Amino acid sequence: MEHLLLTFLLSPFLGAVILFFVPYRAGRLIRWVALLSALPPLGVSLWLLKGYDLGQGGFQFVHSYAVLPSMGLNLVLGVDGISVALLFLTAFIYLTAIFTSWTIDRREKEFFLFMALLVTGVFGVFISLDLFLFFLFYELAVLPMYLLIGIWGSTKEIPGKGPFAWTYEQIRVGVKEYGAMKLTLYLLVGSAFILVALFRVYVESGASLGHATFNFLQLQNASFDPSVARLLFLLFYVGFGVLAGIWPLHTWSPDGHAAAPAAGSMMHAGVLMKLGAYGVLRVGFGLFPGAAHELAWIVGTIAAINILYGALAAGWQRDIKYLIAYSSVSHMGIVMLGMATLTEPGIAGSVFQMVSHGIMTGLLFTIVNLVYHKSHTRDMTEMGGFAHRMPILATFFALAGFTSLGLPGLSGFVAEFLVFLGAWTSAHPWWLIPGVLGAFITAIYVLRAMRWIFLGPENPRYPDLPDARGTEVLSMVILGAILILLGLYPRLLLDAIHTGVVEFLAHLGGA
Amino acid sequence: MLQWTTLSLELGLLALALVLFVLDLTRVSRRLITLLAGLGTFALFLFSFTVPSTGTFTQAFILDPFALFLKRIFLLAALLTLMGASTYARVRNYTARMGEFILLVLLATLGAMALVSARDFLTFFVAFELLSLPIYALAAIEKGNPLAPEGALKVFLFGSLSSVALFLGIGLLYAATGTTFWTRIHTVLFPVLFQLGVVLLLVGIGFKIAMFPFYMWVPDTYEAAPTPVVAFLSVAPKAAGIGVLFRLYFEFFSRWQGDLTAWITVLAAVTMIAGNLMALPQKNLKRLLAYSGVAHIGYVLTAVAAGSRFSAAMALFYFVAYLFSNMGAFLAVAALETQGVEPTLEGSRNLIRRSPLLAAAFLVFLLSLGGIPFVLGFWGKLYVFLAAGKAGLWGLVFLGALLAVIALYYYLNVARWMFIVEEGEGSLHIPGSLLAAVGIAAVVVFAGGLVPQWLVVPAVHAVMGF
Repeated sequence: MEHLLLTFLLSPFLGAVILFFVPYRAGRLIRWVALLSALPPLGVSLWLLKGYDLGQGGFQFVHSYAVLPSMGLNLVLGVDGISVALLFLTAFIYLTAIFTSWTIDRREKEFFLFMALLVTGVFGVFISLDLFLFFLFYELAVLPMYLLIGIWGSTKEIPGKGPFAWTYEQIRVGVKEYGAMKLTLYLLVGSAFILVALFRVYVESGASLGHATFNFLQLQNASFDPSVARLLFLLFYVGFGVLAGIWPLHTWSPDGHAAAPAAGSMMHAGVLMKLGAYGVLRVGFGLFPGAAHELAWIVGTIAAINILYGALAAGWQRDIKYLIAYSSVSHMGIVMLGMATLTEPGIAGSVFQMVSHGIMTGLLFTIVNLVYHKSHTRDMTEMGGFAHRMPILATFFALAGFTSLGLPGLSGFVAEFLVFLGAWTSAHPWWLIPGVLGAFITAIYVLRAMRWIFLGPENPRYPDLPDARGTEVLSMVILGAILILLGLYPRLLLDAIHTGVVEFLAHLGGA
Repeated sequence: MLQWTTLSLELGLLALALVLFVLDLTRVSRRLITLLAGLGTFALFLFSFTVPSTGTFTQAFILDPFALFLKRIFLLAALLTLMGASTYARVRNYTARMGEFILLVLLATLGAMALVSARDFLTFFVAFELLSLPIYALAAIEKGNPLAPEGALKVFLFGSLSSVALFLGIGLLYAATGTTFWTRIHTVLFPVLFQLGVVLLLVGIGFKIAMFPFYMWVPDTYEAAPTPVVAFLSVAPKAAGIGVLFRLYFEFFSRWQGDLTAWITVLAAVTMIAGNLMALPQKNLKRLLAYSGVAHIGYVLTAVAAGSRFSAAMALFYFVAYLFSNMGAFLAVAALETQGVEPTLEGSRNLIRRSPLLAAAFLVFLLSLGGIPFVLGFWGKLYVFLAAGKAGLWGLVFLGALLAVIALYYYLNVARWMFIVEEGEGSLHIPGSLLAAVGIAAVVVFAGGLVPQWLVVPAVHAVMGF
């Protein structure tokens, strides 16, 4: 049992290794290897919902494997309630991303190989308790995205407008290579912040604990000088925050996600952005409780800007992929706002929103990419009446859209309700206003997008629009079912999240 | 009683060079000579693990683990150069001069090996010249290339300038201290002369390691010189220069630490910035790698600025990573050139289809130079930054980390041409010896990234003597 968590690392990694040796032409075999590599983590993550002992709480299944004994580096694995929820999310997104990409038609071997590596990194981050390996996994999760977008991505077709149109044309904004490079460089700037902060933590912990360490469990007991703690908190906040899409460092997200292939956006918006939020929560808030109390107002205020700015920007888009990408920026604001409240419902809502938004964005990007592939346009104003030909896609878009705007009975409502409750009881009740306003604007652009794309009379311009089929439907059914399930029975995850948050707050002190 | 065993590596290399030179006068085939040179160098590399690791030969020459570690780097650099050179010479039509080529490479290696063992200014200067002079000739060995004279002249002029600066600096230091032996420098009679002398020494070494602002010759020479020579030039003199800098630092600069740390910190920062920014717009792979090399010297200077034993060890480790990644990258470029491909971004297009092995190896080198986790270069950068952090140079660490991201732009851009751009036809057949050299380097970079402690621990042991 103590080696249980290794499944999360070994399964996708072995999948990648096997894929490396599978010949290029064996298309079916490649897909099945990828699928098989996704199943064991899924099984374990579902088992953890029961197997994680709620009464006991804390980090469980902790085990340490020596990596670099001479440098004191160990692979320390363990999960608490928060990670259990996020492992659940990652396992499902990986599975459905494979189903969604089942029909991919070129360089499949490399595609699934990079996906498997990326997922290894994501799982690694969620279960690592050694900050250095945490960082390594984080990098592993970020890097394959460059090639995923660069090779399999799609290029924007809607010409730019406004005063910067010419400049945008010149630096090729909207082209997939641009999106890939921008995303990679932004995220690596974030990594640079994290790396420097990690070193500082390592050196400072030597003074505080008597021996320098990267072990999270030991670092929790270290005390840092308040001014150093503030600096480190901000470094971690900015470093991980880039990946979480905090304003004004979010601009890689629309360009990158719009350029990415379906599965790429699913993984990235669905899971990787959560990695950033998780990093801020676990490392930033977790290691520097004092600084977190002092500086939470910055995190919350920027999150409020995120919510409003992302929603307004999404309302401006005619490009369907940019719309979803900006809505992610807005929803990540709710995640960050929840943790900034430093209250029990707020943080629980934040984690719940990570899961809910991950599943929802995965579903939305699947639909949007299918619509794009079948109609060959991303301009929503050119669409219309698609519901006649694509009833399945229209249904699932409605489901995801309603989750996005927080309709009761779906998972988004639970998450947003908890976050708003947290905001109301926090030190800054006014955060409620941008939150609710954001949800309102979301309703406008989601419903408008639905009207533009799916409603209205049948569109003569697209005589031949096949609906989703086979694995694509399977992927959407799985994701949609989770949205409904979590909406009707949130305790499935909330109990575990609750245990994690209570521990977390106990350590954070106050509030 | 003179300890001749201390000199055994140098004497062995000299003997090898002379024997091969004489053989070259006979009718023995050039191929065999190249093979013998490679085998001999490799034998010396193996032999270096059996020689006693400490000893002195008079007061002017010291063999310690630090010097020995660097000597191994030079021998490996020479070996990789020779492996790459034979095919390259055949394609570029200078096989007839392969004898001289080998002699010059081995003599330059000898110079580098003597340089890191020098403990007085005369040995230092002679070794420095022995390292420099063969390189001038090597840069011009490809007579048919119209660019060659310019590149060779540039390295010659700047090299001479650096020798002048060194000689002047040595003179001033002698005047200020009254001795040429570093161990006997106890009292500084004229602090002003001493400071001026140290600055001139830094200038002279700065040319050799391509530090800001003395790097102007680098891109032109790199573009013009035969690529295997460039591969050697981009590693051995730099490692020697940094090595001697550390020795000077610990032997007598240290009595003057406050000022000097600030100076080197600034130089490291400016070198990193200049190298990375200048590399951004490059379209020629050799020029790109030239500027990236300048940036890497900036990172190593970070370790020099930290000025601790730990940082010296990490600089050594950095050079191991740099040796394999940078020489690997240059040899990969050489492999492209042997197939008549221009060494430009355009030329490397769709390499993944045209020569998958070369493309994969090239990617490993680029990732390593860029400092991406799980390859050797990442650990090099990491440890250098950690050493700087421990010395409290957080600003430099932060700058370096940010610049490393900028650097990724141009490294990834190469990867983009190789992997993402899909136009470009015609598969390449890379000659065996070059592919072997590239392959060995790639395997070391990759495996070293998985088990870095195998190289870090020896590097840490190598500085125990200081």
